[in-house]
Amino acid sequence: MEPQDRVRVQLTVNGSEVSRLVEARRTLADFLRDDLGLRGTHTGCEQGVCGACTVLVDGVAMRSCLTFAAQLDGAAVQTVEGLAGDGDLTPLQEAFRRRHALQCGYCTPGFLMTATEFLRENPSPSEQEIRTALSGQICRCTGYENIVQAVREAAGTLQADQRRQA
Amino acid sequence: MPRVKTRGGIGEDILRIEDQRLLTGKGRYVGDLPLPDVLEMAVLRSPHAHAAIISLEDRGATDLPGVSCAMGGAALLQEAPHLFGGVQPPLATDEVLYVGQGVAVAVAEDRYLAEDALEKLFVRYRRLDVLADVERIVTQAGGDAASHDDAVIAFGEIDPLFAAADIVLEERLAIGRATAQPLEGRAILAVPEGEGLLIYAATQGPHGMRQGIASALSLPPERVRVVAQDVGGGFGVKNGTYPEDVLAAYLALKLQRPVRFQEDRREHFLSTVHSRAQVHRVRLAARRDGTLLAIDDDMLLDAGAYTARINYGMATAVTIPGPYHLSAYRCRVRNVKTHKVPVGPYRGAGRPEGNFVMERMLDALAERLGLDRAEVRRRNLIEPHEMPYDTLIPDRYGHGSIVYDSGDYPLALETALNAADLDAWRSRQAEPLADGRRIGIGIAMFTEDTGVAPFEMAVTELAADGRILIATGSPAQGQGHETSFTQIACSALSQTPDEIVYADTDTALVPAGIGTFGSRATVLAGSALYLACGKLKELLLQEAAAVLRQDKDLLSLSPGRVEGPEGSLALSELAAQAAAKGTPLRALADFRPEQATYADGCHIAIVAVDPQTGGVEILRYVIVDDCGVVISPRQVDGQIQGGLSYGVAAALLEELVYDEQGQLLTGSFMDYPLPTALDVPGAEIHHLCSPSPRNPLGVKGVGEGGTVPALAAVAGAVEDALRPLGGGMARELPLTPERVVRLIADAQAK
Repeated sequence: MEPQDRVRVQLTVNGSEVSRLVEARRTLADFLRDDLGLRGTHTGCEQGVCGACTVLVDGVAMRSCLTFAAQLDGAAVQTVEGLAGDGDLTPLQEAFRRRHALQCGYCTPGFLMTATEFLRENPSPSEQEIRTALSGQICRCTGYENIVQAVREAAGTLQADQRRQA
Repeated sequence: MPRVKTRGGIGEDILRIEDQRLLTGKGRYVGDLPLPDVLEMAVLRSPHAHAAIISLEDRGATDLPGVSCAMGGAALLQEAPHLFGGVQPPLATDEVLYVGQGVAVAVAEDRYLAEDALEKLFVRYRRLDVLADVERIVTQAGGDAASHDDAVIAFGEIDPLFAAADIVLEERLAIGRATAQPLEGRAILAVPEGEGLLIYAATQGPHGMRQGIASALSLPPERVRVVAQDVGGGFGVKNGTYPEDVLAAYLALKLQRPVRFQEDRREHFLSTVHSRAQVHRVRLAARRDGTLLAIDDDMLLDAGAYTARINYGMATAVTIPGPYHLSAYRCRVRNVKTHKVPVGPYRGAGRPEGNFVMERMLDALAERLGLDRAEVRRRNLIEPHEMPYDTLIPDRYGHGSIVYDSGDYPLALETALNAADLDAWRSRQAEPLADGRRIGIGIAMFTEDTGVAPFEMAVTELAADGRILIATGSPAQGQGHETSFTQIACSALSQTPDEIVYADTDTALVPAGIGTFGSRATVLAGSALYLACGKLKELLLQEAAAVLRQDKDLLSLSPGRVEGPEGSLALSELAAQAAAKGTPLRALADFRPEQATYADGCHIAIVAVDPQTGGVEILRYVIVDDCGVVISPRQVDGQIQGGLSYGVAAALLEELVYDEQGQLLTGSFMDYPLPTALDVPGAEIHHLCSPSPRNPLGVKGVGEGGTVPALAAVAGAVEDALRPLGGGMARELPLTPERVVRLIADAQAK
């Protein structure tokens, strides 16, 4: 197959069925942004290091800059646009707002997706666990402290919400 | 200072207004703007640091489907010679001067196709001699080293003081080349409109970019409109007009299609300005009791291939004296030409380097005299009763000498010392920790010129719906002006945030501006906005007095209304009347302070250093910061904490390493380590408030204060940790693990 050859992919993105013909070389990030118009996912390095482009693929955090759209036939992708839908912010997004965990906001979608997966796996993490879990995400503005505190706060909020529902 | 208290006004800890869209993926960064017929641009870059271009051959680039244009520098020069009038040509034509310099450009329906086109362009080079190491260049060339611009900043009689001093110290100190790395690279979208251009840009200074592009394209400035919406970080590097900006603007006009350039990370490393990159030979003269007498510094700045737009070596020169009494001072600045990426400002723009020099020399003086580091500083600090204090440092803008406006430096020092609980930490220094690591303590103080002149403008207008539109020439790249400027307007006009509409920074709204850098936006644009709000208030009350037939002096503003003793009026009604009369209620203010404001503070770093691996962990970090009146408390702390991460990075991590052939060896995030959540501690931040008398808000800048003293504080702490093991002075940044281990090895080898 040549890089420019087109491949049919069918997948769900934020719960909606999508079927597209894509170039084999097209990254998931470009597919989401330019083909589907979901421009909340940003690319920071396109080298897989900074984590800004992180999305969830079948619930697992992945670098959309290093993933080809053609690899995702049958997958379920969630992006930052799929977190809150059109409604209220999620507890994690709320905590980011309350704790001033973003400045320019460019890296924020990647942090939100990574932390969403992390809190699902580890609902009551220690600060050190949070710092380790976020160490694959680069933020140039905040110096991280408020992001760490936001994730801690979201963990508390998430637990409280679960207690209320139980 | 404003006294009116309103919900959401100055000093209130409100949530940020811009966060809702940024948290939900609805930011409006340049790369996110949907345009149906936009072309994407890519640039072919030189693989050589210095070479002659022999030929450029197109083997089918322009024949590829979807490719609109592909051309090299020589062809562009022939087609549009007027583009080549600036300091740096938009593309190299016959000679390349650094790895990464553009030699050809392509535009196509998407970036993939544009890069396909570049692969069909073949360039032949002949390599030439490379200038890479500034000290070697100066040694070999003597006084003839090619240099962009040199200067000497001096006051007092240096030589007699050195001749008579009890103590003379001399050191070589160095700060590595580094660059800002905002996560959004440079980005520009040029849209042809009428006879001119509408430009969306990730820029810190839209008006400067308008001037730069208009001048390069030989257009009248009014035909170029530049708009900055959401910008993904700036930190100094997204200022001025880059070659790619000129190319995108020119090609958009030529092709009559929108053209976007979105820099990728590799390009950012190889073409966005670098910074720091200084070597100092510095001498200090002091009395036996620790009294500073004079500093004499000779600075070499590795300036790269083209003259910097801002000579930040001068900022270094005026920062070195800091908060201390000094009888004489001399600093020679030499910007040495090398075959590397040109330099420019990067968070602090020369001030962290200057602070590093002075604070390290004070630590060396303390070491020499057997004095406590805090005590050496205490004995030399300028006292609050001396304010305003004439430093005698020549103002680099030719306005006489630098006069500090306000501040209590001794209080900053004592506040930090008390907060850091140093006695407890010192008691742990005698022995290593259980894991073999050693504790070190570093202290650094700073003063910093913030809100540097000359001016900013602001516009306020009663909008058709009765809300108040505010606009300035200083866009945000994360600083949250939408919130802080709204707070200023709320206080000035007795409104709540719901009644304020923050406009994108747009050259069509505000006649002139400088931009957001050098910790200046709140000081200058914020003050201009406050003044414009005051003027608008007068207009609103005057118009309302006529409508209500009441005495203007008895009227006042409340959220959405004008109140009077005999009835009130909604601002929306006032807006409707103004619209009917065809006279918009609009005010413009131009704020031009004579001098900068001077922020100050003190940092204390406590670190644990592993003498075996050279690893450094920051255990505690205390910051005392005085930025005058605080507009948006959470954002001020956010700036300080964020600034600290830059100081930590400069002290321990980031360095652009070049080899002797001018090849960048650290050109990706894999080998240019940015700080992560594991590297930056949460700082304990304390505030002092010495309002500046130089602006109506009493504010000073805060964007860089978190960075400036952190280099010296962390370096001093690492050095302190290794002293019991015979470690030497920490003279060179970043203190990578290798350099940390060498502090001991090199000292023992002597």
